[in-house]
Amino acid sequence: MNWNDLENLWRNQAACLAGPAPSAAALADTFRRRARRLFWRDTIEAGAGFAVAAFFALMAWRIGALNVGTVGGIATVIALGGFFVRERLRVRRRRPAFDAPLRHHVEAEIAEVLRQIALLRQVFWWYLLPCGVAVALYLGGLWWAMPPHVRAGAMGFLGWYAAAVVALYAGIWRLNQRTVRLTFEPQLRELEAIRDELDRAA
Amino acid sequence: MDTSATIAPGQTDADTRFASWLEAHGGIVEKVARAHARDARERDELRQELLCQLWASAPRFAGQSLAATWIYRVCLNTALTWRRGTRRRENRTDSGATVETVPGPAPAPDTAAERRDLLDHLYAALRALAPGDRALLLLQLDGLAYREMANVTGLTENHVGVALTRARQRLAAQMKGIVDELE
Repeated sequence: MNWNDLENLWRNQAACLAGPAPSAAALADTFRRRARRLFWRDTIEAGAGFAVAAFFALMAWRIGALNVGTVGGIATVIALGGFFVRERLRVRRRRPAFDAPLRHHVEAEIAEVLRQIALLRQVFWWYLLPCGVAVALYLGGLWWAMPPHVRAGAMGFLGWYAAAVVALYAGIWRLNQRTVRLTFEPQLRELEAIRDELDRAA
Repeated sequence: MDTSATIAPGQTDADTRFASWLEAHGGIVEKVARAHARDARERDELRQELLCQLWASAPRFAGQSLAATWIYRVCLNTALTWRRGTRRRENRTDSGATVETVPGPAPAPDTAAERRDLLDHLYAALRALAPGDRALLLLQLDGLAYREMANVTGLTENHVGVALTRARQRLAAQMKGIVDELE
């Protein structure tokens, strides 16, 4: 058997979809459901930040602790929520067109994976540090609002709390770096291999 | 094929075009799904993904290329992105790699069953190849001209020729003992 025989065998396959073809309405519905799922996922993620800010703002107001520290902490959380929303919208706009030539699509995928890697590697700067600053400002504001005779005692508790937060953030940072190593770097290598293989013909 | 994808009132031109594409070129979706998915479950998943993406991308078709060429571009790109997502899910569940093996030699196809067997061998060999090789071979097996292959892949026609020669050598190695003259 030679290549021509193989081509004939190939072209004699059934030239239609296996099974019933889905209607355009069914596919439109699938797309709408996916878009809704993504929308609510993004809304809940962004909303969680604003909800946390609202809760702590209310708490600070109820105990009479609205000052530079607590307001600064709340404002930092709100700014972080805004950053998430902006990033989500940018990701949607950046989505590659699936009708581009394969080589271009591979480049777009590589760019997307590199962006994900950069985000996770820098998670300290755009997520952990702002969160840490927000927590420090808020707790500092609460501490400042305490009566002087309570402040000294509260320092011990705040010290332990800060240590717990640092440990938690270290764990989050390590998880993100692990994801880079185990998930995104292998994807990047595979995509780059595809690109290099296509380019090697040049 | 079930042609129940009839045009209903309110359907757009893109929907009409999509329905006619499924009728004329639905085989491309099947071939790409079978060449990229390892089992029936993955094939169903990928087929659905290909159809969704084709439908979503249909309004972008400007008629500057043949429909089959354009459909191949969308399907191959979708399969590439889908595979990336599949690998991410596999890593998370840590289910262990599925070892893809190419079956042993098959007899020359004298009957329909033997032809089916040989096709299975061919698809398994395609799945074992790198995505770039797989894409080029799919296009050549379907009889696309070098110019059309260049349109799909983004390579020049000369580069397509060189890459295709290498891809056929690799396919020949995968199908050693089954098919003699693939280069």
